[in-house]
Amino acid sequence: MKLPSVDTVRVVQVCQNHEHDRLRSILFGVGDCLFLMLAGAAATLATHLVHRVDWGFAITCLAGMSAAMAVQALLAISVAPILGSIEAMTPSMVVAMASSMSECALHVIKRELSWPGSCGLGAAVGACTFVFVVAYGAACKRSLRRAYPRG
Amino acid sequence: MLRIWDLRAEFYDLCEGSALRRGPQKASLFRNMMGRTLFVATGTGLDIRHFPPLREIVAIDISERMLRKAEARRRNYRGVLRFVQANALNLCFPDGSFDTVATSCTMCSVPEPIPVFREFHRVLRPAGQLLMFEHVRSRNLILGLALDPMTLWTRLVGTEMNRDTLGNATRAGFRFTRIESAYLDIILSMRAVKGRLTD
Repeated sequence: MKLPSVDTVRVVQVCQNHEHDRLRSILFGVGDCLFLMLAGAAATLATHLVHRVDWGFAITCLAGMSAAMAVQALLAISVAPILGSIEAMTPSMVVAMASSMSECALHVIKRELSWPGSCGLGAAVGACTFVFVVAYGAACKRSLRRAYPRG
Repeated sequence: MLRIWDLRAEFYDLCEGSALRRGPQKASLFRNMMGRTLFVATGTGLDIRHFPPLREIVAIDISERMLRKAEARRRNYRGVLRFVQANALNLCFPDGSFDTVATSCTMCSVPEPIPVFREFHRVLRPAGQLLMFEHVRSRNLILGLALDPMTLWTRLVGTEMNRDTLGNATRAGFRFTRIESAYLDIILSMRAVKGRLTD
């Protein structure tokens, strides 16, 4: 029986590693997307609930945004051991800021959402942020690869 | 500073448990450890599992409690790994005594990064290499603006989220040879070589 050469074994190992890396990045991608949608929904819901207690626009917005940030921080800390602390905290902060501001903007134009509507808005902001993160991540990798080509 | 790290030693493993995501990238960077290596800020030794085997490594940390927690991981390393309690701002090693200096999420936590880089520069032999797995401030406007307010409270536990680590290393006399993205332009895997010291 003819044994495979060392080079063949190496090629097979490299292919297996690439497959493994791809699977890992897909799984983390799914995790990131679901987490950002959840963070968006929870943060917007928190803002929505604060808006129901009408303390005047400025205070309500400030309190709503603080509540959104607190909810987002708690969620990010809880998923950090799996998704990574910075990987969870940074984009979810953007999601909480943007979704909470959208809720405040709707309040200004006297368009109050129902709570499922608020959750949907937050989840949509989360999904959009995920798309932005993926696109920006790919751009960063491309630009660094160009600046520092593998020798 | 020392008190913060002694306190953080108790729950460090739980907070820094993202080895699942960052582990392969760290292992890929640390594979480049060559010759006598200084690993700065070992913590509870979470990164030891990513070290290549059969190397000669001196690992330091400012906190004795962290090093005590890392002891079991040190014993499992297949190579020469020695712990020294030391401050990165004032390394207790002679000039040019290491071939590689490596860090992992360290430069966000030292109070004065440029003097620490100068210490790395001093203890490295000529053309020695610096390996860093670090998080830095994003160049993206939105992400950068998210990292700035985060720093207001992470600073309380000794971590800065918005440091210009590349700029600081360059100012201390290092020349980058390779930078890879581990997460966007925030977590970077970096290789640099000791260059000429500038003021």
